Amino acid sequence: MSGRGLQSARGRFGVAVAVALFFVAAAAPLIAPGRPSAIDLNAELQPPSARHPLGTGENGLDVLTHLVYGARVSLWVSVFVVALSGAVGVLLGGIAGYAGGIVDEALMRSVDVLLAFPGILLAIFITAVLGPSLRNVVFALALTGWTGYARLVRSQVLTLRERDYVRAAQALGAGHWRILARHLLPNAAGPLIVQATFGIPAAMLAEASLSFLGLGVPPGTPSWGALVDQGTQYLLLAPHVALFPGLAIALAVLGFNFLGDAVRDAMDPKAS
Amino acid sequence: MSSTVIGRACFVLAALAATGAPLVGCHPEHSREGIVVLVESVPDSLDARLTLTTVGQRVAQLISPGLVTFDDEGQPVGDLAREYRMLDSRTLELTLRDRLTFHDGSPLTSEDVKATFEGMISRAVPSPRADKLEAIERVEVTAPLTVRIHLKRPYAPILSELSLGILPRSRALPPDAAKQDREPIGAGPFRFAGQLDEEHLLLLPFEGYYRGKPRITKLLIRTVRDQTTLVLELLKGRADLVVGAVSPPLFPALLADGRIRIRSRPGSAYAYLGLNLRSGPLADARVRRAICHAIDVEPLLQAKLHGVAEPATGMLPRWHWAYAKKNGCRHDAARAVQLLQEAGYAGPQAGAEPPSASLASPAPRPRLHLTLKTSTDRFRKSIALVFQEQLAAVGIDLEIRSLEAGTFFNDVRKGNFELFGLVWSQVLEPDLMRWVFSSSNIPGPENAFGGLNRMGYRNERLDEVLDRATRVEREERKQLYAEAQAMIDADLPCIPLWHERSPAVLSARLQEYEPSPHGYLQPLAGAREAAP
Amino acid sequence: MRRLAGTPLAIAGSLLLVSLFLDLVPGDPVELMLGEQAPSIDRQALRHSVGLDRPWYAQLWLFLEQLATGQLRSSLPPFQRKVLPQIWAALPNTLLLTFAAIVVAVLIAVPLGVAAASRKGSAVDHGAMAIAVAGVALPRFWLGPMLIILFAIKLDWLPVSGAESARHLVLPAITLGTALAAFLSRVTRASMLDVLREEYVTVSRAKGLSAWAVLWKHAFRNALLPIITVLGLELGALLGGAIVTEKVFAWPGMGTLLLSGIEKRDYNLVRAVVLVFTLCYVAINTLTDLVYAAVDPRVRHR
Repeated sequence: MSGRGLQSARGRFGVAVAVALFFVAAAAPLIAPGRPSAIDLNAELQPPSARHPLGTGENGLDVLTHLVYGARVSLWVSVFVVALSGAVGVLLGGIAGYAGGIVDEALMRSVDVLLAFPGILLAIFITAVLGPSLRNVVFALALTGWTGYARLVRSQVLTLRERDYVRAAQALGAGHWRILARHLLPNAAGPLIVQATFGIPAAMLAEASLSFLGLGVPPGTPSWGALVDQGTQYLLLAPHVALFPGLAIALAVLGFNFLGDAVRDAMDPKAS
Repeated sequence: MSSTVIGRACFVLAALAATGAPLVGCHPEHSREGIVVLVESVPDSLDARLTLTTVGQRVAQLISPGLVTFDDEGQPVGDLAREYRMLDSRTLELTLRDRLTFHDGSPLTSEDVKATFEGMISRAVPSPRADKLEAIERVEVTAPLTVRIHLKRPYAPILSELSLGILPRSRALPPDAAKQDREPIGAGPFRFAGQLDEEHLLLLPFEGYYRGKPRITKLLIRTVRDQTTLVLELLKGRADLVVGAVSPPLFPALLADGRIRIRSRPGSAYAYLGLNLRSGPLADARVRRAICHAIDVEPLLQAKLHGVAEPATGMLPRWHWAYAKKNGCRHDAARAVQLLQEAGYAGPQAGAEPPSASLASPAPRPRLHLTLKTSTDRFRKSIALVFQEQLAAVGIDLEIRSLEAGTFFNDVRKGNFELFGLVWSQVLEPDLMRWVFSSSNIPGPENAFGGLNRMGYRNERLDEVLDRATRVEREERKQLYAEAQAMIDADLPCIPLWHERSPAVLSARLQEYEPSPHGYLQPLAGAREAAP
Repeated sequence: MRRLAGTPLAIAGSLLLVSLFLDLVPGDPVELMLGEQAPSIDRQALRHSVGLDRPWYAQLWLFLEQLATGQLRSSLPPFQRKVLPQIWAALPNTLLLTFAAIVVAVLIAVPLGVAAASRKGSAVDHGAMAIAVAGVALPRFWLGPMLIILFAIKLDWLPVSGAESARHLVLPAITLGTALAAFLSRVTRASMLDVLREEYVTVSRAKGLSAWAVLWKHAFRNALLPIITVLGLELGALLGGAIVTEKVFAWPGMGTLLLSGIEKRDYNLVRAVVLVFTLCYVAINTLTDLVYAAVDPRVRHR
């Protein structure tokens, strides 16, 4: 393997995918050949052609356009989910690890309860209650996703809590929040970043799964998962509708996973 | 060494493939006998009194038909009853056919009819259909083959309710009534022969059927939930009949096989957009009419529905006996814009782009923002998207919210919507208009929100007309319903879209099958299997 | 041991959570059933007959009571079917699918991982690991339809969906097992690499044992334990993935039962299915913990 961390072949691939994704998402209106809401009833489910390079789906929607705009949804949702669940997880995990005792027990038990049944179930319930919308999808996924960050931060804080410099700070009268924020949490930054990088593709897959089950984004919203869902209806007539968005998801997930690997390697003092 | 590792892997994969190998070249349909019918869900009950799904109703009706059925104009005609007549405004007399027998061999007489109805009226059987029989006071047996139904008051729609399946008197009341759910007995062309597992139901032709024993030797009713599988089973020749379950966009895949035929007759399934008249922009009739003019169903009928629907101007289809010609609203975008402006919704010129996603490029402010609630059915969702585009062209931003069934129905009942899209699966008895448009049927706490006038439409004159129409003879009914249709057409509490057919997809093996306009499976009684 | 203490709490907690959610979700089975039918004053009677007019904790209590006496009935009137037979029919299907997926995963992962480890750094290694990483990235709800297109539609070797014969198991098992296979192959490779570095391996080689024997008889056996441990950890995720896979292939398992129960608002069915899921998860987690605890001292011992 040439180079390590972000310099490795995989790392570069991961960075390239992430950058490309952000670019496509940001520049969607400029790149996409048409509007996502464009409808052409006479051109439903057509195979790829000059006019529609990736073919058309239901109502004649241009698959390429929906693919490009779908990048926005995927990125937007996954970034927000990671940010939200990360924030909640860091907060709760930090408090639990620092306070210990009953607080810690309570947190760990609730994590157990949450983990006791499939995350997708909880997400199904939440979207069924609240209704499908981008906001609710983010909410549902964040609610099921904070546990990983909480555990990570908690274990970090637990190990570091007994260190001398922490005791020193306490002896000097530093407030608990300050200790937490200044001394303990930053040490968890490394693994947190790695976790967050892996969290993005996980959130992407989760959103796509929800949209596939019909519980994710509202109809008409360009989403890779929703496209695959649509495509599975027309496998006989128009397999391309399911093929391309699936590839997009796979590529994005792959890229971010590579990126996560590379970041982890970069942070890890022991070379592999 | 590496070669052995790879060799091992290959062996394993070959073993896996071998489990699939016997399938190549295996086409069992040639040795198959009988007819295979595919349905999209497991019948919830085989008891005609209890089933609530379309699939359940069709299968139950095949096994246990009723006194009347409906002809091509939606009129009740005799099925098990040879004839019927009104003795006076509150007494209906029916004469049964001779020599009717049940599947267990016992004769079907007026005692069974009486028992079946009384079991329902007394609520001994918890059937939701009991309400529709509420007008019956008692059922009287006057002769072994004659039955008189005494009504509490004149009630013309009662005839349509006589399609209820007639059961042996032993099954009319609990405890034996419960048996009908899983092992039904009736007087229909096919008898229950076994539930092989949850998804396979076997029916055999009944020798004692009054029209003669069906020529089909065996009828297997199989549940296949997935559309792609449905189509593939038909293409591979492993199924012979599917009624209504295949989504029209998949028709080209079926018709590519020259041996498969798709037959349909104009149907009564009424697709419409319900509007909330209680408050908000839709309380204004001009806005409603504007929406009606903005919508153009023609491209949908051709492209999405592949010709299996006819445009509707009201609840009753064109071939219905009570149908009256109305104006309807033609597609006229300019008129729509004009009406909106009259109603006070001025705005930027037509052509405002609907923000279909909050992340799409920002659009100029539309005149009016409305929400359409629909189910999670993909087909209906895609239709809603077309409406979104059409309404955008006149400056209305239509947001589509697709909700799963429970939430959807809840919102519709409670009036928590602006527009909703639904289909009445069958409109045969014009009295349905009273259930749907009369102000006494607006959902509220007094009817546990079960009322069907979800639009909240109030029209006193209409209430009178529809109420009177339950009490008079056919000719006058026709006139009254014509007046009712005109009123509804003027007020547009809901926007009529189209009447859908129940297309029957037929394999080459099924011959002489004349599809029913109502999607019934009865035509199987007269069909035959082609020689292999 | 602390784990075991937390188990009933986890189960109780999830049951409570589900019941609460069910109360929040709008609509109820009576409404859904009667939605398009004429109004009936008897909606209340129907509701009462299945206990829907009582508060959620009373319903939960009723559920537990019925469960304890084995008389659990569905929340769908009028003839509430018994719930346990439905679960009894669906659970084996899900377990079968999960088991088949594990078999597929192992059959793919082990040769791949071993080959990669034995040829570390070579093209085989890179190729195998590339396949592995790709496998994780492919979403199940996409892989399933792609396999359907290829094997069921174009080649007509396998059926599209359903669970009517052994052939019907192939595509769902492959779909469910691929992601696990990918992950497992990396773990296999890593653990094989660890073992291959050990002294006793070089000693065995020096003794003249064939490379093949060394690989399979000694190295692999010792690498097995971490693999099994990881398998246990991933099993829970597999159950979750089964829900989506069952939907793609219309496989009549617990996932399908759950989704249809939610759709029809069959509260008792949903509670029961979630209970079973939770029990499975907890059982798997506990088992894995125990195995891990048993394995750990030995590993450290070396």
